Amino acid sequence: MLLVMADSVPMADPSVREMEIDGDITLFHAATQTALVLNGTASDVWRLIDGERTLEEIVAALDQAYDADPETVRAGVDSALTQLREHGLLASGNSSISTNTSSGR
Amino acid sequence: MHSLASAIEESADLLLHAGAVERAGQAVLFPGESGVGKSTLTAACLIRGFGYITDEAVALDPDTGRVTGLARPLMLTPWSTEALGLDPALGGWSDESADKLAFTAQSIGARAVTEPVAVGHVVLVRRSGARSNPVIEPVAAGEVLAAVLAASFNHYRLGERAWEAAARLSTQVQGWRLDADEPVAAADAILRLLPQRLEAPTTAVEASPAL
Repeated sequence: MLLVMADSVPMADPSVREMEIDGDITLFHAATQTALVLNGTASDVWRLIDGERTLEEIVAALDQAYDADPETVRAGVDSALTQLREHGLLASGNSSISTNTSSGR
Repeated sequence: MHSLASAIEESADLLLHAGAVERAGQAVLFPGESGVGKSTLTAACLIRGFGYITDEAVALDPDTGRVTGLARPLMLTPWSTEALGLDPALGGWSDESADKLAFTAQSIGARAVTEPVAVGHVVLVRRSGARSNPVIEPVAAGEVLAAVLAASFNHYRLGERAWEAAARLSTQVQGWRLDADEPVAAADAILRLLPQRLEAPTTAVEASPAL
């Protein structure tokens, strides 16, 4: 599984175009010709990805915005980042993300 | 659009797997995979007075946002034919599908719409299974966009242009989720979405005499 470090700094792939439609984010990845529509949580995570905020700072920002426990927010952010990475929407080599076959984060 | 296979390889339009009908200059699209009930719902709408665009595929012009339909008869299963109360003798056995009857729009009493039409509504159809009455509710533009992209035949050829056209369409239409089983009741629910034409009063209104 993916192990996402708290101090990692996710950054959007430069070939990704984004559009906001009625509050949701849609992305187009030119390199893979893939279009994606993000759900609410993923849209919020994407808006906070600026190449400067760490994962921990993104979680903290959403902790304040959501009425949910921190573990749930963290799990949602991890899931969103994993899916964004799987679709090639995050730049590689800019964050401390590694593979791990053990369970847990 | 006369041949879907050649259009997929050649067209500059975004081709969508969708049924489509027209009323008051607006197209209503039903994107979805085979088996979701596009043809049956399209036929039900024709019975309720809509114009026929297609029961299978539309071409969306990215520049104008208007759609034209794949020119072909409606393909209905014997179950759909019976559910709609259509006389099977009005149709002929389809060359494309051995278990379906082919009906022209005219045989159902509807007009065929061949000119490009602006899209007013996108209806995401789902068979409810349990509900007796259709339920139609608005959906967000993002959900419409996801459905439109999933219904596209040729987005892989058009790339970014397809994404832009689908996103533009999603923000310009009203999106709906329709849960229904009975096709004519579903068509009535769609009909209620559209502005009704005001009828002229049958008697003149006389001015009240001044008091």
